[in-house]
Amino acid sequence: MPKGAPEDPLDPRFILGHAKSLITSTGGGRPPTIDARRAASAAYYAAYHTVTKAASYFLFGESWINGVRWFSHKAVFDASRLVSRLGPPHAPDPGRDPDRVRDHAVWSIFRDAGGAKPDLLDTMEALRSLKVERETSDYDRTQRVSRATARELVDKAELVHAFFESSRTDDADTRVFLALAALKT
Amino acid sequence: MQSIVDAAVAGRGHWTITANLDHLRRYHRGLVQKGLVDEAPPAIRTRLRWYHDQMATRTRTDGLEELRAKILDSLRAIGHPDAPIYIGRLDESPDETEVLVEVTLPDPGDDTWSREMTSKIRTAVRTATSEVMPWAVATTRLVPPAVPDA
Repeated sequence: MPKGAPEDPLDPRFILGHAKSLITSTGGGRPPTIDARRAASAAYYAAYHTVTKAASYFLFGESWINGVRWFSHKAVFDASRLVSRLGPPHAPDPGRDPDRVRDHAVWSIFRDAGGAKPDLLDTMEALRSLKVERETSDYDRTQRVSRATARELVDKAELVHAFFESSRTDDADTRVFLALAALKT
Repeated sequence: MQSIVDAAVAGRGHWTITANLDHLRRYHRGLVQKGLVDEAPPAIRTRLRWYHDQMATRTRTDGLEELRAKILDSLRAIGHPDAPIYIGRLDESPDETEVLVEVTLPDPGDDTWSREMTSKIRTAVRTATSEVMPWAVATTRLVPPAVPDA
């Protein structure tokens, strides 16, 4: 990952700080639920920008900031589902039928990489949880988004951020995910 | 159809054997030899394949109740015997289903649920899903009990 002072106006650390400020008590009384909704939404974007930054750096190195816009939300989540379904060490072989060729290939790549480790699987699911909650927070006026849920999501976003800022991005299983996100784009 | 019409116009006899429901069921369960199906006329092959796909989709849908039971068992095993859960499909493609599992937990108020507890719940859901519906991925949503918005 890039080192040094951040020059990115959408640096996930800034977005996470914003999300946390929305769910930190500043006075008495029940906090407005719109704060929890906006925090949940911001938590998702912090995680999404973290992933696209890592994937772009994987492909373009120091020029990563010019590559991030190539990624799409759908590509990232399609890739995360592939990791969750075909990456676990106990995942069954999808078989060699012609319509399973691609699944079998991804499954084999993960086998060669020793399988997706639990922290990567946790991170993949955290990403999808954040996306589900963002959609509820931003569009669904009938469901409640509580402060507890928002805090949980900010916590999840921090885990995602910590994972992709760590040396785990150098490991084979994580690189498979980053490559799949690029291929799905 | 054309071969039937041709036979009638030519005034000769013709055998037409259609796949009945029993044939379709036997094909879906793998009881009909693949070679026989491959030799069948295209219209019958198409119908067999359609039925197979329909049944496969139905079987996948039916898996949700089994998954729900398995997840409840798993939550019981890790100390959440009464956690209400909701299961629904988020997304479905021929190869993959994304299942949303919503687990209601006691409201921690201004605090956060323990990371260890939420991780255990997500792992339990993930394991149950891979056992019951290996073609599916689960996404867990943790929510406190519903109360009206302020």
